[in-house]
Amino acid sequence: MIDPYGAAIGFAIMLGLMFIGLHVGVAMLATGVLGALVYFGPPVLLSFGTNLWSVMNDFLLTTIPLFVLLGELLLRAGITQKMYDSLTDWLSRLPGGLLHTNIGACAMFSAVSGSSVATAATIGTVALDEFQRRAYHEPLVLGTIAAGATLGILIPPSVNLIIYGALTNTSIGQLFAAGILPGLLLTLLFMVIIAAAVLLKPSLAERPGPPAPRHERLARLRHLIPPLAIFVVVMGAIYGGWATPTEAAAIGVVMAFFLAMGNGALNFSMLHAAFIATMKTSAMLLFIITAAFFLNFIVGLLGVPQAMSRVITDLGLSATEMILILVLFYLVMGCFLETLSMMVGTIPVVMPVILHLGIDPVWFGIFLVIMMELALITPPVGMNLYVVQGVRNRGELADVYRGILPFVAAMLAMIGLIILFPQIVMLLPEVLY
Amino acid sequence: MRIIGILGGYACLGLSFLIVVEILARKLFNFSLQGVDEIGGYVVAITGTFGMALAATARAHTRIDVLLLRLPKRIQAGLNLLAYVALGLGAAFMAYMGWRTLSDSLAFGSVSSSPLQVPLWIPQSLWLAGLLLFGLTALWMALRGLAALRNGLDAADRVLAPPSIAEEIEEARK
Repeated sequence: MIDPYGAAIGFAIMLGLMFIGLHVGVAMLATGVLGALVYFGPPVLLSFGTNLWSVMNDFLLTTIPLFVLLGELLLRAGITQKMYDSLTDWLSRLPGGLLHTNIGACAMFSAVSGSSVATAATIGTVALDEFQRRAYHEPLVLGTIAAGATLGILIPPSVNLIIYGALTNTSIGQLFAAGILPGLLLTLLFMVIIAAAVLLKPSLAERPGPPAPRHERLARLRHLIPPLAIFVVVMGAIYGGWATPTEAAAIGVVMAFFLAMGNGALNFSMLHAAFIATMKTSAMLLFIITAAFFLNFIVGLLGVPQAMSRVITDLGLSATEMILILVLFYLVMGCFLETLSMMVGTIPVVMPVILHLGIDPVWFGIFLVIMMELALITPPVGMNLYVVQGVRNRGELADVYRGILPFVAAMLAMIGLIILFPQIVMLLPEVLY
Repeated sequence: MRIIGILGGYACLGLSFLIVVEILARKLFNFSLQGVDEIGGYVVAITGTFGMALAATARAHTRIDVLLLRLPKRIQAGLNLLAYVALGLGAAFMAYMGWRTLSDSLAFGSVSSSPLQVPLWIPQSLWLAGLLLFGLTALWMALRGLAALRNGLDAADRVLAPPSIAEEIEEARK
């Protein structure tokens, strides 16, 4: 049995291996191997044995390449510009105009795509082109895209929630249901912040021009149907009880395939590009997940969960105090670690604490994903900030930093809200299950 | 390597259509195709390990570069090499466990506990082949990086350094 210091040293070694640039999966495998060798000796390593096959051969994990493929197909289905234009029709009359379109388009697109880099790059390309000709406060424009693109990992279907569910044995259906309200609420918070900022300082945004004639707007509304339909069918299939998450993902893929075909975007080069991107991303995820399962297995044998529980009992921390500590912990970790690595790498030590304190794993999954969203937009390694700056390809990164601040505040407020009112997260899973 | 991605993609697309057909058959005709979920598991396991090799050549396996990029160029090059050698070793470790799984299946003549009764050595040997290819690819990358070092640190960087943001955006737009 390991003592808490041993566990802390092990965690530090894993972080150290990550920071010297080893692949994240390798750092986790190596930490597991090291722990097993120091405390037990080589035979224990082999006791993982056929688990490797059963982990990778799991039908649940089939969900991952399928959702990734769904996103990649949608990205290339030729709908982004039309969707953006149609959202503009309806959202641009709010104070803040096109800024709301950015948030709406990101929320809608990333809900089905699930990759925040792809969302930031795709919406960023369309949006920044649109803003070229307009007099908006540029940092705020950049901030809306960087922040909006984080919504996808929270709004289901989310690959990150699937990975969390697989590693912690939490129901994917419940996690997806739990992500809906916080996702919508966060979207709303973003829009309220934009509206408030523009009302206080009108020079931040252009005054909206006259809206397009009603029949045109209604005609363009059909461009919003495909992404919405995919979302509704995929989620409906899961909650209607007639499809597992994996089957729902397959339905989404088939719908996206026919959508691309209908738009004339389907051809071999498009399809093959989507395939290669899908295989790369899902294999990258599968390697990390496999390594995490291995590390979790060793961590369990070593008795890390018991050690962590003792620490918590000795410290006498309440669940709320622990969560506040974890907010700080993840804020700091998010400054250095890539988001998925942050989640997967901390689950082995943090999850026992959560379960020991009686915190609901569904609630914690959503908490963790919002902390990941924060990490995506906090300097110095907030990936989305760099992607938006990269798409913009001129000016200073500092502009993006300034523009993101209000949205960082919104996310912190969101964290506060779900701590004070856990029902925001738990209501839908409880109603649906 | 591209061909791995393309074939794997067709496998996933085919699987999606198969699943949808299965759902329709089940709902509309009360008739169930057996074993679609089992096939799905094999598709992920096999495309997954071969995909890992593809991801290794594309430098798509996640690395944390926040500290790395702040180190002297020479040390970066050394750590890049180390990372790919370690990736090869990690893959070899997984392949060794995979080999033990496969040899058990062969020794006991294991078949899947489902109506399909698939002899497990068939999917498992393909899966293991993917793991081996993953390990070899990682070491091949390390060798390429080493060879590129003769043309200077920048040349080696282009082979092994984590992709820059510009490259990732380029990738997302493809």
